[in-house]
Amino acid sequence: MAEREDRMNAERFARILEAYGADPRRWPAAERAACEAFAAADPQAGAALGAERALDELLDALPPVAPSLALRTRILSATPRATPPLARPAKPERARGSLQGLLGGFGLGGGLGETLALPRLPASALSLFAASAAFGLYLGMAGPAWVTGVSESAAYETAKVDAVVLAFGARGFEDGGDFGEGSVQ
Amino acid sequence: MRAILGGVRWTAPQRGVWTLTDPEVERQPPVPDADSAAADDPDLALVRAIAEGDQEACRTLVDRHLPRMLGLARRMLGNPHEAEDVAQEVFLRVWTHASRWRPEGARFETWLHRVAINLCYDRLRRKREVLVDEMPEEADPAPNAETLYHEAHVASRVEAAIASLPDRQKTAILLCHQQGMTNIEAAAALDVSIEALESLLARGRRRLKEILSAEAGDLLGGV
Repeated sequence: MAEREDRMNAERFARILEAYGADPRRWPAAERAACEAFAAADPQAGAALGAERALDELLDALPPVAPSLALRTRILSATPRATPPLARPAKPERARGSLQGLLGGFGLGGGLGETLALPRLPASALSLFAASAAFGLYLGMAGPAWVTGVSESAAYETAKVDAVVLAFGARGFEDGGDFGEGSVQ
Repeated sequence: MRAILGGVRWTAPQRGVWTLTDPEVERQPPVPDADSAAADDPDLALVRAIAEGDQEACRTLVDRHLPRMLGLARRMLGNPHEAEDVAQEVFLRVWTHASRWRPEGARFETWLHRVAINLCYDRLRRKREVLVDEMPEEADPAPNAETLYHEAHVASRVEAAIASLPDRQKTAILLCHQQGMTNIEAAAALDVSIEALESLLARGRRRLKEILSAEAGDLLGGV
């Protein structure tokens, strides 16, 4: 740039005005002093400066653009700390745990879920499944005849047979399956 | 001279935006004087603090640069809504990449301008046909200021004239006149030599004078 200062002339001066306009603050810093000296010494410089100054004033008159508060807020709402860290939701794990717990309640052990690679079901689905199973079990064991298809007396007899089987094992079957009332005695 | 962001050099050719390059302006080597500019970068400490999640640093950076980013995008795009989108995207990139930003000779503000310029170029390229056929929106009118009507009208015509310039001439003029950049900073933001910048500026100003002189009432003569 020092070399340019040495060769400041009308051509370079005109080039600087064409590019940067008439305001010395916009001239290249390394050539500013030489330009100002040239302008002061050259009688033609005044007209050239005036021609560029008119455009400078139009450009400088453009109103500033002020950002809205909403834009500032939007930008700041996305700052690094404001962005919540990506966390894995724990819900699927709880759902799986519920199924394992259900199996545990039926005596199947907590490891069965892992062994069977049980699907990850929502907790609500598991709850509905458990309720349905319990209700079905209740109906089957203690429900009315129109549901179970077994009369009350027949159910009583069946219960008695069950009690004999539990007490004497398969022997009752060896006796021909006569589980009459007297044989119980 | 160039900023590295996430291992990617943010230079125009890699972003594909220099398809708008004026063929008369040859791309030149980086400006050597810009290398020393990063040493006293007033934003460097802020960027480092932002990388550590410092909210106050985020606010300071936004207040320092948002008006200028928005103003640049507003005048480049001629659309206030798109300008807001661009300004927001610029800062989102800061938040995302602050921890990986390295000066490499460029001031942070220069990198900000490059990001904004490239985002504007992308949008201008997408709607180039529309911009050719339509004038940009009128400048926001001054409220209850009848005496300022003429100034608002002049401003809107000047904005329209700027918008009609080729993109790189327009960018060069906005960087030097509106953004207050030195020739070295503007050349670095545009990634061209000083000589190329002066060529863009001179041709842009010449074209502006032609347009504004031809306006009804001769805006240049009215000043």
